[in-house]
Amino acid sequence: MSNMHRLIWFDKQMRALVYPNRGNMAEKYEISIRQAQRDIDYLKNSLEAPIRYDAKRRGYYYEDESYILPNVYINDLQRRMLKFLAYRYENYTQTPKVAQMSELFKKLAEEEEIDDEIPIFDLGKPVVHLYYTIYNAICSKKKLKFLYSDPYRGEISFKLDPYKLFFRYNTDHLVGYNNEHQNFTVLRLDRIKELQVLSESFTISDKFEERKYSGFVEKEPYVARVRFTGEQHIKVDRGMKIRHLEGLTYEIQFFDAEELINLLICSSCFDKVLSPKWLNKKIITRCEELIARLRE
Amino acid sequence: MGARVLENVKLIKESRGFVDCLYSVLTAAGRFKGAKYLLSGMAGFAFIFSAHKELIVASTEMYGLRTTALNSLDILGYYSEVYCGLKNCLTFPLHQKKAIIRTKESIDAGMGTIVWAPGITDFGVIFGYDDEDGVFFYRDRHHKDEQILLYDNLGRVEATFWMCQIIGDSIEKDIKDIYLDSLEYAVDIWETPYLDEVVHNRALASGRKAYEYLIDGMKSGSFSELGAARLIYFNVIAREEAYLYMEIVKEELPECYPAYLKYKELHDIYQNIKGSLPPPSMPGQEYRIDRTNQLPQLIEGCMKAAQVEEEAVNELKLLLKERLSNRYVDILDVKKFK
Repeated sequence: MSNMHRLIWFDKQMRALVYPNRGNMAEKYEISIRQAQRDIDYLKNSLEAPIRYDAKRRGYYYEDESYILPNVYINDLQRRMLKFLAYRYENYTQTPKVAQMSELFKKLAEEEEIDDEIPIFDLGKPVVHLYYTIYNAICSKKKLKFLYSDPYRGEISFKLDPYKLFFRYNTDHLVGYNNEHQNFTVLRLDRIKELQVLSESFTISDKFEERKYSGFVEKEPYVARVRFTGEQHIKVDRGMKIRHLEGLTYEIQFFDAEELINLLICSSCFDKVLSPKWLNKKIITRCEELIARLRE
Repeated sequence: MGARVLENVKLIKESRGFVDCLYSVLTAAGRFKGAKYLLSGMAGFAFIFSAHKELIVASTEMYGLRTTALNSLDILGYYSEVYCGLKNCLTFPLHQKKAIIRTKESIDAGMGTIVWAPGITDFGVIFGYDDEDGVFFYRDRHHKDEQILLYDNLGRVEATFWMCQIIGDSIEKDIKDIYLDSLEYAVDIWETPYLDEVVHNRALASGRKAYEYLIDGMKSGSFSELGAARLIYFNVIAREEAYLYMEIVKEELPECYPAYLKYKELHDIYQNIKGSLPPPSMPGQEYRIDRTNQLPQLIEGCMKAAQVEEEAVNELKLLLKERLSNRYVDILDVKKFK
């Protein structure tokens, strides 16, 4: 449903026989060509719209104009608000109920009533508008220019590559890269006086550690240096990240020690844990227990 | 770079999380030699009863962790420090830094530290550290082997609140004073209606009011089966500890005999209640109330328990009349300015 406003526009363009295409849509909504194509595919395949591409006119048209888009209950402003709420709930305490709320708003659907206590966010704040502008700039990787009210330096003007929005300590924040000072900068949205989206693009720095900028006090992963006898391809979906160091030595970031121990014991290529000591000790204990059981 | 691991730190799930951990820390350090129920009674934990209005599962641990932890160690005659806070507190990094330093110092001094929610949301005991790997070693009540906590993750909990208690030196406190202080605390727990240390509303109750929440909740039918069962089960354990504790106390303080008789009666009621609360079919599962078959007996049992506990506390009040009447502290110097 999040692409509905674009589909409505696309629908109108087709009815007006303007023959819109993915390029027009991408340009209009500052999205990628690929995303625009996905929207058109969605209209055609999921919403079963009878549309056809006219190669001559380089655009789409309705084969059967009696087709109507499914009912849309939300307008563009409401959609922006829902998007903002999705982000806010996502940054709130991670209880299953709140996570559900976030998912719900993400889908931008109007569904069942919620009968439990849930956090309330004020949608009347100017921050909602700022949020949406910045969100689009992050998606389209456009630089921003700010007039910012700094509590120590007064009003300052600067450019920033916007990376991520997050909610912490009851305030909305933006982290980005300041090319002039060559550092990562965190701003409070309520201190932004003026905002301008620039046409200049940026790329995200390798040094950016996304997890540092989050609404939660997130846990750090354990880190192990492990040597194998062959190349390794541990899937990241097991809650681990593996990075090649040198030779057959890898750095593994993990949260569940038991999971990694099971993986290493079962791996025919596992050679040695170089660090930390405690992991080595746990593997030895596990193996000794197993051997003792087998000898019983 | 240092490393130290304390030996003989055993942690067994028998009582409340805090009591199990305190017992583990003190016995490993050779500072306590009695039974666990004795420690539970002396620290006031045998008398604790807190309940959330909706009888949620976490009710049992909503007794005001920080205040109670400090109070309990104070009753026992120990100096203690608590590092704690809400996880979104701006000064968290500073508290965490200090807690890491003090935990290592405590282990160097031969004393483990009590930590809330090092991994899963329950108390644990930190009994070692290794600077090279940047980790603490801790035990919890749910895993046999030692668990690992990165220094950076101390206080980064799944729950909203984190806590770490360092236990220091102790004074030579007369055992009679410990007994009397613990009984005074029992009266306070009973008489304090609302616990609002963190949540500033009246959803959290203690003592008499907690019974009201429990009974009203079960009568209304809108409650968590797991939460209510857990609350009752915790009371079964705690009041057994209270009864056994009073049995010891009455030897030293014969004037406690009437109160002891009431706690014995209370214990008997809870043993009956326990009979209406069949144990979980699988080990490790939580108790759960069967609404159709058990609820009427449980409500009746809890009402009896509330009445007898009121009588037991009345006996304690009679016994402690002088202490309770004379403990006014003129902290604002009101009398001076009158």
